[in-house]
Amino acid sequence: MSAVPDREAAGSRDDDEPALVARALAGDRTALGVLVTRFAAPVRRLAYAILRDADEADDAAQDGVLQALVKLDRYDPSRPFGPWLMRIVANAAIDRRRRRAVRETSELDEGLVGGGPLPDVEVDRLALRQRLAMALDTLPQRYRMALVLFDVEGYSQAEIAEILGVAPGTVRSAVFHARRRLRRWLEGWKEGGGES
Amino acid sequence: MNPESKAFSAEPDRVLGAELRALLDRPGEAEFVAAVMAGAAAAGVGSTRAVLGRWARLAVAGLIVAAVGSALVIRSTTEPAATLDTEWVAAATGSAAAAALFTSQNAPDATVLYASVESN
Repeated sequence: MSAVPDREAAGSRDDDEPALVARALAGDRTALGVLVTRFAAPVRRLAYAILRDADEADDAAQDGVLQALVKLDRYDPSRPFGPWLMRIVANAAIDRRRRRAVRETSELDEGLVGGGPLPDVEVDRLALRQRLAMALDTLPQRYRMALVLFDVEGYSQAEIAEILGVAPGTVRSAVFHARRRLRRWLEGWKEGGGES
Repeated sequence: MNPESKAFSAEPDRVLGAELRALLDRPGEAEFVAAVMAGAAAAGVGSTRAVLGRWARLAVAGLIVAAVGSALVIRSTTEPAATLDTEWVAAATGSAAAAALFTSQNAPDATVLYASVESN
């Protein structure tokens, strides 16, 4: 498992994306395939972070990417491609979530969030991951998106602000509060004896 | 992982990021890519038709701009040609000034009006 944000791990390939888009628009299926493959994992992760349902996330990510590809000629090549695509995918996932009939509890009561040591003292990495998943579920949608885009995908605060359509200060605040809430959840796990 | 120390950091928390990535990553990426590519093909993304359509739209827009520009240039540089109306009024009144006055599409020029009155 890599411990570096996705874009950094990818070796900063952003520079060639406008050229790939131009080739894709000219009918180059290979260039189109490169773009789709490059962003498949990040868009799926983002959609999953928003929807927290694997099938719905893949449907939303697919819808979002297709929407972007259909209007690829509206992409401004002077700007980075990633945030443009991620914004479209995020909106597709948010729309799907709004339409979802099942009522979700997006944020639990603070008293529940603190938690205590897990009953099972032999927690391992899987338990940590389960705990993290539970913690992630309790975060408001915007916090989840900001946290994933910043800590997982490696986008800058300015880029995330563009993706989410908010001020950079709001992104910083969202990342801070998201980390603090995760910390509260994970403190309970650590006190229970688990450590990675 | 030490979330406490990272709460205020403006740098990505790589350990937390790695854990979250492991949590959010799922198998099926190849299927996802295949589905998107199939959808793109069905939607005509990057197809010859789409490429030609885009060029055609650009060409039409360019032609419209060129036509409007040309019309404006021609209108500003050429004198209005004598029309049948002008010739008929001139023949009927025997006055070129009257013909110019009555058939003009613009507001009457005071000098033309004066010349018409003076000639009669």
